[in-house]
Amino acid sequence: MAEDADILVVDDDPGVQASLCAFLEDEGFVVRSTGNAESALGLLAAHPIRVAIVDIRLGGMGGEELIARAHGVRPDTRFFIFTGSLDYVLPDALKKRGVDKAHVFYKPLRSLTVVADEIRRVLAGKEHENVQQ
Amino acid sequence: MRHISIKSKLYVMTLIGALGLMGVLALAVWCLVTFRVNGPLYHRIMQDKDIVADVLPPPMYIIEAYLTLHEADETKSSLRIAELQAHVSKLEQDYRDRYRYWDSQFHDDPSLRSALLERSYAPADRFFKIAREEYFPARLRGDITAHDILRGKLRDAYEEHRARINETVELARARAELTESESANRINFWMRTLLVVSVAAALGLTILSWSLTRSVLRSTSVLIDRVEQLAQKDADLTARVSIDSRDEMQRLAEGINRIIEKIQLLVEQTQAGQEIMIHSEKMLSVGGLAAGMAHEINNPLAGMLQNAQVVLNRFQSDIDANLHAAEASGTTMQAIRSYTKQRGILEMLQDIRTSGERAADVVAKMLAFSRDGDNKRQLHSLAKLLDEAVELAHSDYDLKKGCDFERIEFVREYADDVPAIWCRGSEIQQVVLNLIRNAAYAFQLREPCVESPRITVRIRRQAQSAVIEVEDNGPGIPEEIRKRIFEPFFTTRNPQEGTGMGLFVSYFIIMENHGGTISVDSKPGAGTRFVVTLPIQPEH
Repeated sequence: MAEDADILVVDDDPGVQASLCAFLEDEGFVVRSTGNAESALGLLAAHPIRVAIVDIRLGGMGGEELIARAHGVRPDTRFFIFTGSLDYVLPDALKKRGVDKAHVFYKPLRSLTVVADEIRRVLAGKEHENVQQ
Repeated sequence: MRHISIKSKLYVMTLIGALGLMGVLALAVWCLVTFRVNGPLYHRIMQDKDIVADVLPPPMYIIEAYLTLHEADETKSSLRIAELQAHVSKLEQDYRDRYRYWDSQFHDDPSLRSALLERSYAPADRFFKIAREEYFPARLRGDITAHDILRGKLRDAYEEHRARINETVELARARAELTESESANRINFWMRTLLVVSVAAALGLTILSWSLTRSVLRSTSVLIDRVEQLAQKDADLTARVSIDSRDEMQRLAEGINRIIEKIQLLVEQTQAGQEIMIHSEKMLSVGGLAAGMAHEINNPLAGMLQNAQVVLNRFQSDIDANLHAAEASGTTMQAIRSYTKQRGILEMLQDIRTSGERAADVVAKMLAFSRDGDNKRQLHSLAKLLDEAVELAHSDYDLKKGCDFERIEFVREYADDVPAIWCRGSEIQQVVLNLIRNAAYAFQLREPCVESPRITVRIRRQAQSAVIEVEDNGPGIPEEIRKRIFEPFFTTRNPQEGTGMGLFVSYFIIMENHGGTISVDSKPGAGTRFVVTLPIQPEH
């Protein structure tokens, strides 16, 4: 069940970050995590991150800017958005950088299983089918 | 006396006072002028007394002349006769002086004048004329007829004069007495009149001023009490001053009543204004804060829910990592699961998730109305929207749980003159559904249940607004709850049943999103009516 693909969790809330990491690790993913965008860029440069789960409101650089910059460094990485702002609407700029509307998750999720499922779909290269469905 | 205006009373009082005073003064002056020493009355009385005093004693000139004539009658010496003749002529002169004096005195009384000057003095005149022209010439001639003249004509004239003088004196005396008594009567009459007039004026003034003072004082004390009460902090603005004097004080009281009415209106408007202001400030601040708050609450909620989920996962026996960790700890997953089951740990974790999810619901509902950007405004028939809302209410699972929802009778009263309204249909439906839900819930509050529960849904037009009313015959809402009913998180239900967001969201939808109003009317024991107004003209 172990997967060698790297997952990156960027969230400045320690509880959210730690539990999300623990959940994904239990699901068998290799997970890295950080609380700020700057070190996230470093991790993205250093590791072949396949999926990054990014909070929007971060201390310092925000999640949207992080995605914009990281997309330049690693165009293959897929970005999920995990935000506590219920009124968050995905901007067109991020859609162009490959962020899917279905990959915007609002906190709190009743079950994190949906995130794990979406990661598997992305890794399997099937996410477009699902989206189209 | 009661219903005469104060102005008239004051005028009458002043008039009586002025007239009374002037009358008394005029009378006094007249009395003084009439009765003064050397005044006309005094003069008349004194004149009569003069006549009596002066004329009453037998007139010496004629007595002496008569005696002188007798002496002349007996004297032989013609020298002596000439002397006596000169003496009589001197006495005649005295008589003429007296005549002239009285002639000058009579101006006002012709009867006395004729009595004295014409009747009394005519014989005296005749007496002296006979003495001068007939007696002395005859005597000096030594004529014997002189003696006859003395005893005849002169004696008659003398007697007649004296008798007439007496008559005049009687006349003067009578007149003096009459004048005196008349004067006394006049003085008495005018003094009495003066007294009566002044007493009447004083009495009238006293009664009038007493009644005026009393009525004014009574009214002013009522007014002062009311005004002082008004100045107090907890003034009763519903009480009115009642003065029924039909004078200026009543008008003053009516004026004060109108002022109180205006104050009452102002106070009510101010209170209503404050209520609205407080309300909208609360709404706006909560609305504005909601989004930021949601983010801050959602993050810890996420941490809580996620950790609970992970912990639950880590008690699963089908995950390799769990099995390894148990083994490394010298136990088995079966043992751990048995332990958690015995101690109810999994249920507790599940409770944490349930609680967290409920909190997440509250936040989500709080923001639901502001996130609903996709719901565009369209022209909607309110009747159709309301019918659908009633339908939805019937299929509402939560309502079916309640006591006898099926028994509730729905009455629809839709006016024909309400046009289609520009609105977000689903939002209006949400509001109406919410109001119906609240009404249905209210029926359950009453023990025993309301006899024939009824919800009336009404649409009518009012000027440029469409009005939706949802009215129930439930137990009503107490005043202290009614005041807070639109506040967020305010609920009378227990936390599992209500979030306290329903009416807050309704308020926001109607006030903010549609520019309408929502208000509640309630009579405890009789029912509650929510009134929603929506502008017929869409805002641009």
